[in-house]
Amino acid sequence: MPEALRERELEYEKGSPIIEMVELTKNYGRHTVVDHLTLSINSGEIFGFLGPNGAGKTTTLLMLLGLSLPTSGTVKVLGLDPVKEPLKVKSKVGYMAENMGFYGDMSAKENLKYVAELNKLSDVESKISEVLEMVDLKEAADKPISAFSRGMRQRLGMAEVLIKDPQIVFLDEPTLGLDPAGINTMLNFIVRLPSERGLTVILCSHLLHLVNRVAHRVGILQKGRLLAQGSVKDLAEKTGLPDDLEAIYSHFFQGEGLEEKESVAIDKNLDEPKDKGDTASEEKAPLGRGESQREEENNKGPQGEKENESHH
Amino acid sequence: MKAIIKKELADHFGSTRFLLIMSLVFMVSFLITHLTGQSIREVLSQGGSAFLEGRTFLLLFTATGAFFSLTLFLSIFGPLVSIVLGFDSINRERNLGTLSKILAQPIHRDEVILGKYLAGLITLAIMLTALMLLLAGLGLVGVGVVPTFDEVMRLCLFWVLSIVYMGFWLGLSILLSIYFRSVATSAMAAAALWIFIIFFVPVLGQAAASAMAPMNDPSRPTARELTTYNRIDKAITMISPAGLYTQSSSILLDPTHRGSDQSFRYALMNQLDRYLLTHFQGGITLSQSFILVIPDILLLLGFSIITFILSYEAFVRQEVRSV
Repeated sequence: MPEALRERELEYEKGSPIIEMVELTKNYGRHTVVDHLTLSINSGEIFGFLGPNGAGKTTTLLMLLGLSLPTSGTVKVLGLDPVKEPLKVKSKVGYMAENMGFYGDMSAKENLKYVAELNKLSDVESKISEVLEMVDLKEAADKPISAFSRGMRQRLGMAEVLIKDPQIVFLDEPTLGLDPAGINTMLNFIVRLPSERGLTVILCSHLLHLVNRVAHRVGILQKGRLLAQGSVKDLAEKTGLPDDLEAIYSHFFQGEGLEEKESVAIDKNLDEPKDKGDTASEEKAPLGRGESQREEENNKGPQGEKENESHH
Repeated sequence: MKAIIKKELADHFGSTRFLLIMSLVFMVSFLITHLTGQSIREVLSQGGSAFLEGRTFLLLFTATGAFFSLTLFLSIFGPLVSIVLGFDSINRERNLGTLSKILAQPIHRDEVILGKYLAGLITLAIMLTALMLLLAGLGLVGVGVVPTFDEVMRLCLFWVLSIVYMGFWLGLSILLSIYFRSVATSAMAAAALWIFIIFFVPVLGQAAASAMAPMNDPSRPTARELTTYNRIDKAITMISPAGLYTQSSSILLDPTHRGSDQSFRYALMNQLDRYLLTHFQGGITLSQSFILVIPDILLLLGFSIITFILSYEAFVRQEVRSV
């Protein structure tokens, strides 16, 4: 299992820092949501933001986009300050919000067209068909969104993010509410973004095993503070724990209240693909499961996706 | 911003509720104009054309007819059209999850609110133009009177005045859609404000006037008592956009109407106009009418700008986190 992980790390060439946060802080009244966060993210990596709900992941993303103003500290995205030049940042960064919405009475194409127009893109028609092709929604292009399944909506969200041809994408809980097949499609798509489109990806999730499957590095966030960052392997070495994100995660959350750990466990059960793989080996080796399963789905990816659609 | 206006316009003209309120407004307007046209024809056939001289065509819009005049109808139902266009403009997108998506695109925040406001205004303008042209056509065919240039100009001014008035309501309903998270709450709040401003403020004016200037014998008030009573009543009406609109539209559309006798109206006039107005009873010219309504129009414009600026500020300052 560690081999598989190392293999993935080799694929990723460490680029120069593309996002830099220094002592980034956000207060809402007396409540501190993001607490002196210092972190840099390199180009071409998939960075997983881990933490329970309300840990400050979304707020951090909003500050990176200039949608929320930091109370103190500085941010640089692509060398730009999102506070001073939000438009430049937003034209190069795609943001897929948690529970991203669409105009239900408009078709997928019309929704995409609106986003393209807001970005003042040229050559809109060909870009629309390109991204629709990419997320495999070509047949559903003219259907109204109200007829879309959750998985299709999520893929359309991805298309809307990619149509502006961004350099960085922020994905906030991209697998939320998807069924196992949908989750796999989404993760397989995300994992290819750096190599195929040269993108840097920040992935926020409270679901450990999902982040584990795609992220090159992770940052563990709790109550606005960054508890740890680095690749799973680095973190394992530092903590002297097995090469297992779950063990590392629970190490950091020891004594921090059981609810978080419990909620993670529950979510994990819900999202666990029950129809695939050997359950016994999964429990012992979550990393290996993730890896082997990914290969499996790579092979039968398209069919799985079609199945998913026909269910709805 | 062009993209936002385009989309909002398409939404407005495609929405069922807008088409419903439009058809309601059109139907009632047709009915009113038809009935008014009939009474005008009767007066004309009885040889009263001299009495109607110079304002026959305008009477289509101002005469009370069987129920109430078209201007009164617009002052009551015009706001409803604005409310229908605006009450859910921000909170619906917020609940849908599209607002944060739009704001994550490279556009300024104020473009969103400005785009929505302008799209609403354009929709109202198109509706009002269509309505007035149709009614004018109906008048031409039904009554057979050709409007004079003066009358056409008065109608144009009335058009502008109506847009400003409905713009006030549009800004107000957009403001409510920013403050209230729930679409139902903002709809209720808009309806409540509508009832308050249209129906309660006039009553409040009378109530305040009788409280502040009580008459010794209400059946035979003295001239002085009556003047004070009227002043207080009118002053309170002046803080209501509906009152301002009704008053200024009747001055604009009816050459014999001079508004209530408030001396400040004459402040902007030259000596001759002031003399003519205070000493003769006949119709007044367009420019005189226009000068008379300038204070009302400015106040109304002020109200509209205030509601828009409030919603603009509220939207631009609102934390996205709450989006």
